[in-house]
Amino acid sequence: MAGLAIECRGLTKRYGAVLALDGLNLEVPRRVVFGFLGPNGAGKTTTMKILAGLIAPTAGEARIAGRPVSREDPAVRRSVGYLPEEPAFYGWMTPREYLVFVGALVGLSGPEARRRADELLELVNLREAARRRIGGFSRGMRQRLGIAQALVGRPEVLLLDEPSSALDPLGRRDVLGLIERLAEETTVFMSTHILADVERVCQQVAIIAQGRLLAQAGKEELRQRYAAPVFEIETAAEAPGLAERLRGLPWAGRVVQEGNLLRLMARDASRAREELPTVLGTLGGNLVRYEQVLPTLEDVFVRLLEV
Amino acid sequence: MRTKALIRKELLEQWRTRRLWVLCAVFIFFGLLAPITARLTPDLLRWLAATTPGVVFQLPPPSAADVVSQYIKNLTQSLPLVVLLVAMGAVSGEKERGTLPMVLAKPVSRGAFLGAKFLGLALALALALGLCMVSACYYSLLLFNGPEPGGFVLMNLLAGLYLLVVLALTFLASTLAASTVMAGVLAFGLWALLLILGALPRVGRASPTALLSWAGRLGIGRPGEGEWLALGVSLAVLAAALIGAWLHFRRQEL
Repeated sequence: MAGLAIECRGLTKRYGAVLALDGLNLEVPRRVVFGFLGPNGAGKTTTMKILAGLIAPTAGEARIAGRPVSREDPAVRRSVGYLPEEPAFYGWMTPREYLVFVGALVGLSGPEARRRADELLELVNLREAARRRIGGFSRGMRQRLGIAQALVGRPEVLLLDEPSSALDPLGRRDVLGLIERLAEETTVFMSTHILADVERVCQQVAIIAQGRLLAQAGKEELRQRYAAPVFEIETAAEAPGLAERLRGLPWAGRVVQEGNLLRLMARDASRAREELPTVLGTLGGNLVRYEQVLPTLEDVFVRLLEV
Repeated sequence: MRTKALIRKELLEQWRTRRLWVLCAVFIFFGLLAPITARLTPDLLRWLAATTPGVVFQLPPPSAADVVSQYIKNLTQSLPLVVLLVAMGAVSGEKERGTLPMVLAKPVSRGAFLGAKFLGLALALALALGLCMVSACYYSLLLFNGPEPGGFVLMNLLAGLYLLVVLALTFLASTLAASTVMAGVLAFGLWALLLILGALPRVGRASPTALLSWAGRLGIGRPGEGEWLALGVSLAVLAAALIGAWLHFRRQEL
Protein backbone atom coordinates (compact mmCIF):
# COMPACT_ATOMS: atom_id res chain seq x y z
CA MET A 1 0.00 0.00 0.00
CA ALA A 2 2.90 2.38 0.78
CA GLY A 3 4.03 2.03 -2.83
CA LEU A 4 0.79 3.35 -4.25
CA ALA A 5 0.22 6.97 -5.17
CA ILE A 6 -3.56 6.63 -5.02
CA GLU A 7 -5.74 3.92 -3.60
CA CYS A 8 -9.55 3.79 -3.54
CA ARG A 9 -11.43 1.05 -1.72
CA GLY A 10 -15.17 0.70 -2.22
CA LEU A 11 -15.50 4.40 -2.90
CA THR A 12 -19.17 5.28 -3.05
CA LYS A 13 -20.86 8.63 -3.51
CA ARG A 14 -24.58 9.16 -3.56
CA TYR A 15 -26.37 12.43 -4.38
CA GLY A 16 -29.93 11.77 -3.28
CA ALA A 17 -31.23 9.09 -5.63
CA VAL A 18 -28.23 9.34 -7.95
CA LEU A 19 -25.36 6.94 -7.40
CA ALA A 20 -22.33 8.78 -8.78
CA LEU A 21 -19.74 6.26 -7.55
CA ASP A 22 -20.60 2.66 -6.88
CA GLY A 23 -17.88 0.99 -4.83
CA LEU A 24 -14.95 2.12 -6.95
CA ASN A 25 -11.69 0.26 -6.39
CA LEU A 26 -8.57 1.73 -7.88
CA GLU A 27 -4.81 1.43 -7.47
CA VAL A 28 -2.48 3.95 -9.05
CA PRO A 29 1.26 3.26 -8.84
CA ARG A 30 3.76 6.06 -8.31
CA ARG A 31 5.48 8.05 -11.07
CA VAL A 32 3.18 7.23 -13.95
CA VAL A 33 0.79 9.27 -16.05
CA PHE A 34 -2.46 7.51 -15.28
CA GLY A 35 -5.45 7.98 -17.56
CA PHE A 36 -8.82 7.90 -15.84
CA LEU A 37 -11.26 7.26 -18.65
CA GLY A 38 -14.99 7.19 -18.81
CA PRO A 39 -17.97 8.63 -20.65
CA ASN A 40 -19.64 11.80 -19.39
CA GLY A 41 -21.33 11.19 -16.05
CA ALA A 42 -19.22 8.11 -15.30
CA GLY A 43 -18.01 9.54 -11.97
CA LYS A 44 -14.60 10.87 -12.96
CA THR A 45 -15.05 14.38 -11.54
CA THR A 46 -16.66 13.02 -8.38
CA THR A 47 -13.62 10.79 -7.83
CA MET A 48 -11.31 13.74 -8.47
CA LYS A 49 -13.17 15.92 -5.98
CA ILE A 50 -13.04 13.22 -3.31
CA LEU A 51 -9.30 12.83 -3.85
CA ALA A 52 -8.86 16.62 -3.67
CA GLY A 53 -10.72 16.69 -0.34
CA LEU A 54 -13.55 18.83 -1.66
CA ILE A 55 -16.34 16.32 -1.09
CA ALA A 56 -16.66 13.35 1.23
CA PRO A 57 -17.52 9.84 0.04
CA THR A 58 -20.77 8.29 1.24
CA ALA A 59 -18.82 5.07 1.89
CA GLY A 60 -15.40 3.65 1.26
CA GLU A 61 -11.98 5.19 1.58
CA ALA A 62 -9.44 6.98 -0.54
CA ARG A 63 -5.73 7.26 0.23
CA ILE A 64 -3.06 9.40 -1.32
CA ALA A 65 0.56 8.43 -0.78
CA GLY A 66 -0.67 6.09 1.95
CA ARG A 67 -2.55 8.77 3.92
CA PRO A 68 -6.35 8.79 4.13
CA VAL A 69 -8.02 11.68 2.34
CA SER A 70 -10.30 13.76 4.53
CA ARG A 71 -12.22 16.93 3.81
CA GLU A 72 -11.57 18.15 7.33
CA ASP A 73 -7.87 17.35 7.56
CA PRO A 74 -5.82 19.59 5.29
CA ALA A 75 -2.52 17.77 5.99
CA VAL A 76 -2.90 15.17 3.22
CA ARG A 77 -3.51 17.94 0.69
CA ARG A 78 0.17 18.87 1.00
CA SER A 79 0.82 15.83 -1.20
CA VAL A 80 -1.77 16.78 -3.80
CA GLY A 81 -1.96 19.28 -6.62
CA TYR A 82 -5.41 19.69 -8.14
CA LEU A 83 -6.57 21.18 -11.40
CA PRO A 84 -10.38 21.28 -11.75
CA GLU A 85 -12.06 20.92 -15.11
CA GLU A 86 -12.62 24.67 -15.34
CA PRO A 87 -9.93 26.37 -13.28
CA ALA A 88 -11.05 29.74 -11.92
CA PHE A 89 -8.74 32.42 -10.58
CA TYR A 90 -8.98 35.83 -9.00
CA GLY A 91 -9.14 37.92 -12.15
CA TRP A 92 -7.67 40.97 -10.42
CA MET A 93 -4.41 39.14 -9.63
CA THR A 94 -1.45 38.64 -11.92
CA PRO A 95 -0.35 35.01 -12.46
CA ARG A 96 2.79 35.66 -10.42
CA GLU A 97 0.75 37.04 -7.53
CA TYR A 98 -1.54 34.04 -7.69
CA LEU A 99 1.34 31.56 -7.63
CA VAL A 100 3.00 33.41 -4.72
CA PHE A 101 -0.35 33.33 -2.89
CA VAL A 102 -0.61 29.57 -3.50
CA GLY A 103 3.00 29.22 -2.36
CA ALA A 104 2.06 30.76 0.99
CA LEU A 105 -0.94 28.42 1.22
CA VAL A 106 1.22 25.34 0.72
CA GLY A 107 3.65 26.57 3.36
CA LEU A 108 6.50 28.15 1.39
CA SER A 109 8.27 31.20 2.80
CA GLY A 110 7.97 34.50 0.91
CA PRO A 111 11.28 34.24 -1.02
CA GLU A 112 10.69 30.52 -1.72
CA ALA A 113 7.19 31.22 -3.01
CA ARG A 114 8.43 33.98 -5.31
CA ARG A 115 11.26 31.78 -6.63
CA ARG A 116 8.87 28.87 -7.23
CA ALA A 117 6.38 31.19 -8.97
CA ASP A 118 9.07 32.33 -11.40
CA GLU A 119 10.17 28.74 -12.07
CA LEU A 120 6.63 27.64 -12.82
CA LEU A 121 5.82 30.64 -15.00
CA GLU A 122 8.84 29.61 -17.06
CA LEU A 123 7.72 25.97 -17.12
CA VAL A 124 4.22 26.72 -18.35
CA ASN A 125 5.42 29.40 -20.74
CA LEU A 126 3.68 32.32 -19.05
CA ARG A 127 6.79 34.35 -18.26
CA GLU A 128 5.79 37.06 -20.73
CA ALA A 129 2.34 37.38 -19.16
CA ALA A 130 3.59 37.38 -15.55
CA ARG A 131 2.47 40.96 -14.92
CA ARG A 132 -0.82 40.87 -16.80
CA ARG A 133 -4.12 40.46 -14.99
CA ILE A 134 -5.47 36.89 -15.11
CA GLY A 135 -8.90 38.32 -15.97
CA GLY A 136 -7.71 38.88 -19.54
CA PHE A 137 -6.22 35.41 -20.06
CA SER A 138 -7.31 32.99 -22.80
CA ARG A 139 -8.62 29.54 -21.93
CA GLY A 140 -5.28 27.94 -22.80
CA MET A 141 -3.35 30.37 -20.62
CA ARG A 142 -5.69 29.71 -17.71
CA GLN A 143 -5.23 25.98 -18.15
CA ARG A 144 -1.45 26.33 -18.08
CA LEU A 145 -1.66 28.57 -15.04
CA GLY A 146 -3.96 25.96 -13.51
CA ILE A 147 -1.29 23.32 -13.95
CA ALA A 148 1.34 25.69 -12.52
CA GLN A 149 -0.72 26.39 -9.38
CA ALA A 150 -1.20 22.66 -8.87
CA LEU A 151 2.58 22.18 -8.98
CA VAL A 152 3.59 24.93 -6.55
CA GLY A 153 3.98 22.62 -3.52
CA ARG A 154 5.87 19.94 -5.52
CA PRO A 155 3.01 17.47 -4.93
CA GLU A 156 3.48 13.71 -4.95
CA VAL A 157 0.23 13.36 -6.85
CA LEU A 158 -1.17 15.68 -9.49
CA LEU A 159 -4.91 15.43 -10.11
CA LEU A 160 -5.90 16.84 -13.49
CA ASP A 161 -9.60 16.85 -14.31
CA GLU A 162 -10.11 16.95 -18.09
CA PRO A 163 -6.98 19.07 -18.58
CA SER A 164 -7.31 19.41 -22.35
CA SER A 165 -11.00 19.01 -23.11
CA ALA A 166 -11.77 22.67 -23.80
CA LEU A 167 -8.56 23.61 -25.55
CA ASP A 168 -7.84 24.25 -29.21
CA PRO A 169 -5.33 21.89 -30.91
CA LEU A 170 -2.33 24.10 -30.12
CA GLY A 171 -3.34 24.57 -26.49
CA ARG A 172 -3.90 20.83 -26.22
CA ARG A 173 -0.48 20.07 -27.65
CA ASP A 174 1.15 22.42 -25.15
CA VAL A 175 -0.70 20.98 -22.16
CA LEU A 176 -0.02 17.37 -23.15
CA GLY A 177 3.65 18.18 -23.68
CA LEU A 178 3.74 19.64 -20.22
CA ILE A 179 2.08 16.58 -18.70
CA GLU A 180 4.63 14.31 -20.38
CA ARG A 181 7.44 16.33 -18.82
CA LEU A 182 5.80 16.26 -15.38
CA ALA A 183 5.77 12.47 -15.22
CA GLU A 184 9.47 12.55 -14.38
CA GLU A 185 8.83 14.11 -10.99
CA THR A 186 5.29 13.28 -9.93
CA THR A 187 2.35 10.92 -10.40
CA VAL A 188 -0.17 12.39 -12.81
CA PHE A 189 -3.75 11.18 -12.41
CA MET A 190 -5.64 12.57 -15.37
CA SER A 191 -9.31 12.20 -16.07
CA THR A 192 -10.44 12.57 -19.65
CA HIS A 193 -12.78 11.31 -22.31
CA ILE A 194 -10.36 12.21 -25.10
CA LEU A 195 -8.81 8.88 -26.00
CA ALA A 196 -6.15 10.36 -28.24
CA ASP A 197 -4.73 12.20 -25.22
CA VAL A 198 -4.53 8.98 -23.25
CA GLU A 199 -2.87 7.21 -26.18
CA ARG A 200 -0.28 9.95 -26.27
CA VAL A 201 0.70 10.53 -22.66
CA CYS A 202 -0.61 7.80 -20.34
CA GLN A 203 1.20 4.62 -19.36
CA GLN A 204 -1.65 3.14 -17.33
CA VAL A 205 -5.38 3.42 -17.80
CA ALA A 206 -8.52 2.79 -15.80
CA ILE A 207 -11.92 2.83 -17.49
CA ILE A 208 -15.02 3.53 -15.44
CA ALA A 209 -18.69 3.70 -16.25
CA GLN A 210 -21.66 4.36 -14.00
CA GLY A 211 -19.33 4.81 -11.05
CA ARG A 212 -17.70 1.39 -11.39
CA LEU A 213 -14.29 0.30 -12.54
CA LEU A 214 -14.52 -1.69 -15.77
CA ALA A 215 -10.83 -2.31 -16.31
CA GLN A 216 -7.43 -1.15 -15.20
CA ALA A 217 -4.08 -1.98 -16.77
CA GLY A 218 -1.26 -0.69 -18.91
CA LYS A 219 -2.30 0.53 -22.36
CA GLU A 220 -0.83 -2.42 -24.23
CA GLU A 221 -2.25 -4.94 -21.80
CA LEU A 222 -5.69 -3.39 -22.18
CA ARG A 223 -5.51 -3.65 -25.93
CA GLN A 224 -4.45 -7.28 -25.78
CA ARG A 225 -6.95 -8.23 -23.12
CA TYR A 226 -10.05 -6.39 -24.24
CA ALA A 227 -9.86 -5.28 -27.86
CA ALA A 228 -11.31 -7.44 -30.59
CA PRO A 229 -9.23 -7.84 -33.78
CA VAL A 230 -9.76 -4.87 -36.05
CA PHE A 231 -9.74 -4.80 -39.84
CA GLU A 232 -9.50 -1.62 -41.88
CA ILE A 233 -10.99 -1.58 -45.37
CA GLU A 234 -10.33 1.32 -47.71
CA THR A 235 -12.17 1.86 -50.99
CA ALA A 236 -11.49 4.27 -53.84
CA ALA A 237 -15.09 5.49 -53.81
CA GLU A 238 -17.76 5.03 -51.19
CA ALA A 239 -19.13 1.50 -51.35
CA PRO A 240 -22.88 1.70 -50.73
CA GLY A 241 -24.27 -1.15 -48.66
CA LEU A 242 -20.87 -2.59 -47.73
CA ALA A 243 -21.12 -1.59 -44.06
CA GLU A 244 -24.58 -3.19 -43.84
CA ARG A 245 -23.35 -6.40 -45.48
CA LEU A 246 -20.44 -6.64 -43.08
CA ARG A 247 -22.70 -6.03 -40.08
CA GLY A 248 -24.84 -8.96 -41.20
CA LEU A 249 -21.96 -11.44 -41.02
CA PRO A 250 -22.10 -13.72 -37.97
CA TRP A 251 -18.45 -13.16 -36.96
CA ALA A 252 -18.57 -9.36 -37.39
CA GLY A 253 -18.96 -6.97 -34.50
CA ARG A 254 -19.02 -3.20 -34.64
CA VAL A 255 -18.54 -1.57 -38.04
CA VAL A 256 -17.68 2.12 -38.27
CA GLN A 257 -17.62 3.96 -41.58
CA GLU A 258 -15.77 7.24 -42.09
CA GLY A 259 -16.03 8.17 -45.75
CA ASN A 260 -14.15 5.59 -47.78
CA LEU A 261 -12.66 3.90 -44.71
CA LEU A 262 -14.40 1.16 -42.74
CA ARG A 263 -13.26 -0.26 -39.41
CA LEU A 264 -14.57 -3.70 -38.59
CA MET A 265 -14.19 -5.32 -35.20
CA ALA A 266 -14.27 -9.08 -35.58
CA ARG A 267 -15.69 -11.41 -32.95
CA ASP A 268 -13.83 -14.31 -34.56
CA ALA A 269 -10.49 -13.26 -36.05
CA SER A 270 -9.72 -16.51 -37.90
CA ARG A 271 -13.13 -16.64 -39.61
CA ALA A 272 -12.75 -12.95 -40.48
CA ARG A 273 -9.36 -13.61 -42.08
CA GLU A 274 -10.86 -16.57 -43.99
CA GLU A 275 -14.09 -15.02 -45.21
CA LEU A 276 -13.32 -11.31 -45.57
CA PRO A 277 -11.42 -11.65 -48.91
CA THR A 278 -14.47 -13.32 -50.48
CA VAL A 279 -16.79 -10.53 -49.31
CA LEU A 280 -14.37 -7.82 -50.41
CA GLY A 281 -13.80 -9.53 -53.77
CA THR A 282 -17.18 -8.25 -54.88
CA LEU A 283 -15.82 -4.69 -54.67
CA GLY A 284 -13.55 -5.33 -57.62
CA GLY A 285 -11.37 -2.33 -58.52
CA ASN A 286 -13.00 -0.17 -55.85
CA LEU A 287 -10.96 -1.90 -53.12
CA VAL A 288 -7.77 0.01 -52.32
CA ARG A 289 -6.56 -2.04 -49.35
CA TYR A 290 -7.63 -4.13 -46.41
CA GLU A 291 -5.53 -5.12 -43.44
CA GLN A 292 -5.68 -6.25 -39.85
CA VAL A 293 -4.56 -3.33 -37.67
CA LEU A 294 -3.67 -2.87 -34.01
CA PRO A 295 -6.77 -2.07 -32.00
CA THR A 296 -6.83 1.41 -30.53
CA LEU A 297 -7.79 2.44 -27.03
CA GLU A 298 -11.05 3.64 -28.51
CA ASP A 299 -11.78 0.06 -29.62
CA VAL A 300 -11.12 -1.14 -26.06
CA PHE A 301 -13.22 1.67 -24.61
CA VAL A 302 -16.16 1.00 -26.92
CA ARG A 303 -15.99 -2.71 -26.37
CA LEU A 304 -15.95 -2.39 -22.59
CA LEU A 305 -18.83 0.05 -22.58
CA GLU A 306 -20.88 -2.15 -24.92
CA VAL A 307 -20.56 -5.20 -22.70
CA MET B 1 1.45 31.78 7.62
CA ARG B 2 -1.52 30.42 5.65
CA THR B 3 -4.07 32.49 7.57
CA LYS B 4 -1.90 35.57 7.11
CA ALA B 5 -1.77 34.92 3.35
CA LEU B 6 -5.56 34.52 3.24
CA ILE B 7 -6.14 37.76 5.17
CA ARG B 8 -3.65 39.60 2.97
CA LYS B 9 -5.47 38.30 -0.11
CA GLU B 10 -8.83 39.51 1.26
CA LEU B 11 -7.54 43.02 1.94
CA LEU B 12 -5.72 43.19 -1.39
CA GLU B 13 -8.88 42.04 -3.16
CA GLN B 14 -10.93 44.76 -1.49
CA TRP B 15 -8.34 47.33 -2.48
CA ARG B 16 -7.86 46.20 -6.09
CA THR B 17 -11.55 45.67 -6.83
CA ARG B 18 -12.26 49.17 -5.38
CA ARG B 19 -14.68 47.62 -2.90
CA LEU B 20 -12.82 49.19 0.03
CA TRP B 21 -12.81 52.61 -1.64
CA VAL B 22 -16.53 52.45 -2.34
CA LEU B 23 -17.28 51.28 1.20
CA CYS B 24 -15.22 54.09 2.72
CA ALA B 25 -16.65 56.70 0.34
CA VAL B 26 -20.24 55.72 1.17
CA PHE B 27 -19.55 55.72 4.91
CA ILE B 28 -17.81 59.12 4.71
CA PHE B 29 -20.75 60.45 2.70
CA PHE B 30 -23.21 59.36 5.39
CA GLY B 31 -20.88 60.69 8.08
CA LEU B 32 -20.85 64.13 6.45
CA LEU B 33 -24.54 63.98 5.68
CA ALA B 34 -25.53 63.91 9.38
CA PRO B 35 -24.17 67.36 10.41
CA ILE B 36 -25.04 68.91 7.06
CA THR B 37 -28.65 67.65 7.25
CA ALA B 38 -28.94 68.85 10.84
CA ARG B 39 -27.60 72.26 9.85
CA LEU B 40 -29.64 72.73 6.69
CA THR B 41 -33.00 71.21 7.64
CA PRO B 42 -34.26 74.25 9.65
CA ASP B 43 -33.14 76.62 6.86
CA LEU B 44 -34.91 74.46 4.33
CA LEU B 45 -38.10 74.43 6.36
CA ARG B 46 -37.94 78.21 6.89
CA TRP B 47 -37.54 78.71 3.15
CA LEU B 48 -40.49 76.39 2.56
CA ALA B 49 -42.59 78.37 5.06
CA ALA B 50 -41.62 81.64 3.37
CA THR B 51 -42.76 80.37 -0.03
CA THR B 52 -46.01 78.85 1.30
CA PRO B 53 -48.49 81.49 2.59
CA GLY B 54 -50.12 80.69 5.93
CA VAL B 55 -47.49 78.16 7.03
CA VAL B 56 -45.39 78.97 10.08
CA PHE B 57 -42.61 76.72 11.40
CA GLN B 58 -41.31 77.16 14.89
CA LEU B 59 -38.09 75.21 15.32
CA PRO B 60 -35.46 75.24 18.03
CA PRO B 61 -31.98 76.09 16.74
CA PRO B 62 -30.16 72.96 15.45
CA SER B 63 -27.67 71.35 17.82
CA ALA B 64 -25.16 68.52 18.06
CA ALA B 65 -27.98 66.31 19.39
CA ASP B 66 -29.63 66.60 15.95
CA VAL B 67 -26.40 65.42 14.36
CA VAL B 68 -26.32 62.38 16.63
CA SER B 69 -29.97 61.65 15.91
CA GLN B 70 -29.42 61.87 12.13
CA TYR B 71 -26.21 59.83 12.39
CA ILE B 72 -27.98 57.04 14.28
CA LYS B 73 -30.78 57.05 11.67
CA ASN B 74 -28.19 56.56 8.93
CA LEU B 75 -26.58 53.74 10.91
CA THR B 76 -29.94 52.04 11.36
CA GLN B 77 -31.38 52.47 7.90
CA SER B 78 -28.75 52.94 5.22
CA LEU B 79 -25.37 51.63 6.34
CA PRO B 80 -26.52 48.07 7.17
CA LEU B 81 -27.69 47.84 3.55
CA VAL B 82 -24.25 48.91 2.40
CA VAL B 83 -22.66 46.27 4.64
CA LEU B 84 -25.06 43.69 3.25
CA LEU B 85 -24.24 44.58 -0.37
CA VAL B 86 -20.50 44.41 0.26
CA ALA B 87 -20.53 41.14 2.21
CA MET B 88 -23.26 39.06 0.56
CA GLY B 89 -20.90 37.64 -2.08
CA ALA B 90 -18.03 36.95 0.33
CA VAL B 91 -18.34 33.15 0.22
CA SER B 92 -21.19 32.57 -2.25
CA GLY B 93 -19.36 34.66 -4.87
CA GLU B 94 -16.31 32.42 -4.60
CA LYS B 95 -18.55 29.37 -4.93
CA GLU B 96 -20.23 30.85 -8.01
CA ARG B 97 -16.98 31.85 -9.71
CA GLY B 98 -15.30 28.52 -8.93
CA THR B 99 -12.35 30.07 -7.10
CA LEU B 100 -13.23 28.36 -3.82
CA PRO B 101 -12.27 24.74 -4.76
CA MET B 102 -8.95 26.02 -6.08
CA VAL B 103 -8.11 27.40 -2.63
CA LEU B 104 -9.64 24.65 -0.50
CA ALA B 105 -7.81 21.93 -2.44
CA LYS B 106 -4.65 23.37 -0.86
CA PRO B 107 -3.59 22.47 2.70
CA VAL B 108 -5.86 25.15 4.12
CA SER B 109 -8.48 24.47 6.78
CA ARG B 110 -11.96 25.66 6.04
CA GLY B 111 -12.04 27.44 9.39
CA ALA B 112 -8.95 29.47 8.45
CA PHE B 113 -10.51 30.36 5.12
CA LEU B 114 -13.74 31.57 6.75
CA GLY B 115 -11.92 33.35 9.56
CA ALA B 116 -9.71 35.26 7.13
CA LYS B 117 -12.70 36.24 5.03
CA PHE B 118 -14.64 37.57 8.02
CA LEU B 119 -11.62 39.33 9.47
CA GLY B 120 -10.91 41.02 6.14
CA LEU B 121 -14.49 42.29 5.97
CA ALA B 122 -14.50 43.36 9.63
CA LEU B 123 -11.27 45.33 9.16
CA ALA B 124 -12.71 47.07 6.11
CA LEU B 125 -15.86 47.87 8.08
CA ALA B 126 -13.82 49.21 10.99
CA LEU B 127 -11.84 51.47 8.65
CA ALA B 128 -14.99 52.74 6.93
CA LEU B 129 -16.79 53.37 10.22
CA GLY B 130 -13.72 55.10 11.62
CA LEU B 131 -13.61 57.47 8.65
CA CYS B 132 -17.38 57.98 8.93
CA MET B 133 -16.99 58.87 12.61
CA VAL B 134 -14.09 61.25 12.04
CA SER B 135 -15.82 63.07 9.19
CA ALA B 136 -19.11 63.37 11.12
CA CYS B 137 -17.38 64.50 14.31
CA TYR B 138 -15.15 67.03 12.53
CA TYR B 139 -18.01 68.63 10.64
CA SER B 140 -20.24 68.60 13.65
CA LEU B 141 -17.60 70.31 15.80
CA LEU B 142 -17.15 72.85 13.04
CA LEU B 143 -20.87 73.60 12.69
CA PHE B 144 -22.20 73.02 16.21
CA ASN B 145 -19.19 72.93 18.48
CA GLY B 146 -20.27 69.47 19.62
CA PRO B 147 -20.81 66.58 20.34
CA GLU B 148 -18.28 65.67 22.95
CA PRO B 149 -15.73 63.44 21.10
CA GLY B 150 -15.41 60.83 23.90
CA GLY B 151 -19.14 60.06 23.87
CA PHE B 152 -19.16 60.12 20.07
CA VAL B 153 -16.42 57.46 19.98
CA LEU B 154 -18.31 55.27 22.46
CA MET B 155 -21.44 55.72 20.35
CA ASN B 156 -19.54 54.53 17.29
CA LEU B 157 -18.15 51.52 19.13
CA LEU B 158 -21.68 50.38 19.94
CA ALA B 159 -22.89 51.21 16.43
CA GLY B 160 -19.90 49.30 15.10
CA LEU B 161 -20.95 46.25 17.08
CA TYR B 162 -24.45 46.52 15.59
CA LEU B 163 -22.98 46.69 12.07
CA LEU B 164 -20.71 43.76 12.93
CA VAL B 165 -23.81 41.73 13.85
CA VAL B 166 -25.33 42.63 10.46
CA LEU B 167 -22.03 41.66 8.83
CA ALA B 168 -21.97 38.30 10.64
CA LEU B 169 -25.57 37.51 9.62
CA THR B 170 -24.77 38.43 6.00
CA PHE B 171 -21.67 36.26 6.19
CA LEU B 172 -23.76 33.35 7.47
CA ALA B 173 -26.20 33.85 4.58
CA SER B 174 -23.32 33.96 2.12
CA THR B 175 -21.99 30.67 3.47
CA LEU B 176 -25.39 28.95 3.39
CA ALA B 177 -26.51 30.15 -0.05
CA ALA B 178 -25.32 28.73 -3.35
CA SER B 179 -25.56 32.06 -5.16
CA THR B 180 -24.88 35.69 -4.28
CA VAL B 181 -28.46 36.72 -5.08
CA MET B 182 -29.81 34.06 -2.73
CA ALA B 183 -27.31 35.17 -0.08
CA GLY B 184 -28.51 38.77 -0.47
CA VAL B 185 -32.16 37.78 -0.10
CA LEU B 186 -31.41 35.62 2.94
CA ALA B 187 -29.25 38.32 4.56
CA PHE B 188 -31.93 40.94 3.96
CA GLY B 189 -34.47 38.62 5.58
CA LEU B 190 -32.26 38.12 8.64
CA TRP B 191 -31.68 41.86 8.96
CA ALA B 192 -35.42 42.54 8.60
CA LEU B 193 -36.05 39.98 11.34
CA LEU B 194 -33.57 41.81 13.54
CA LEU B 195 -35.45 45.08 12.95
CA ILE B 196 -38.85 43.47 13.59
CA LEU B 197 -37.65 41.91 16.85
CA GLY B 198 -36.14 45.26 17.81
CA ALA B 199 -39.51 46.96 17.35
CA LEU B 200 -41.37 44.54 19.66
CA PRO B 201 -42.15 46.06 23.08
CA ARG B 202 -40.35 43.70 25.44
CA VAL B 203 -38.15 41.65 23.14
CA GLY B 204 -36.81 44.87 21.63
CA ARG B 205 -34.82 45.70 24.75
CA ALA B 206 -32.76 42.56 24.23
CA SER B 207 -32.35 42.97 20.49
CA PRO B 208 -29.12 44.29 18.90
CA THR B 209 -31.11 47.29 17.62
CA ALA B 210 -31.40 48.45 21.25
CA LEU B 211 -27.65 49.12 21.06
CA LEU B 212 -28.40 52.02 18.75
CA SER B 213 -30.65 53.86 21.22
CA TRP B 214 -27.97 53.38 23.89
CA ALA B 215 -25.37 54.59 21.36
CA GLY B 216 -27.53 57.67 20.68
CA ARG B 217 -27.70 58.52 24.37
CA LEU B 218 -23.93 58.14 24.69
CA GLY B 219 -23.49 60.40 21.66
CA ILE B 220 -25.33 63.28 23.28
CA GLY B 221 -23.63 62.75 26.63
CA ARG B 222 -26.66 61.33 28.48
CA PRO B 223 -25.82 57.62 28.72
CA GLY B 224 -28.70 56.73 31.08
CA GLU B 225 -29.17 53.05 31.80
CA GLY B 226 -26.88 50.74 29.79
CA GLU B 227 -28.49 48.18 27.44
CA TRP B 228 -26.31 45.40 28.77
CA LEU B 229 -28.73 42.65 27.82
CA ALA B 230 -28.76 43.89 24.21
CA LEU B 231 -24.97 44.00 24.30
CA GLY B 232 -24.83 40.38 25.51
CA VAL B 233 -27.40 39.25 22.96
CA SER B 234 -25.52 41.05 20.17
CA LEU B 235 -22.29 39.29 21.07
CA ALA B 236 -24.17 35.99 21.25
CA VAL B 237 -25.81 36.55 17.82
CA LEU B 238 -22.41 37.49 16.40
CA ALA B 239 -20.80 34.33 17.77
CA ALA B 240 -23.76 32.12 16.77
CA ALA B 241 -23.71 33.44 13.19
CA LEU B 242 -19.99 32.77 12.84
CA ILE B 243 -20.14 29.34 14.46
CA GLY B 244 -23.18 28.48 12.32
CA ALA B 245 -21.31 29.54 9.20
CA TRP B 246 -18.31 27.41 10.16
CA LEU B 247 -20.40 24.34 11.08
CA HIS B 248 -22.15 24.48 7.72
CA PHE B 249 -19.07 25.33 5.69
CA ARG B 250 -16.85 22.59 7.10
CA ARG B 251 -19.25 19.97 5.70
CA GLN B 252 -20.19 21.78 2.51
CA GLU B 253 -19.72 19.88 -0.75
CA LEU B 254 -17.91 21.92 -3.36
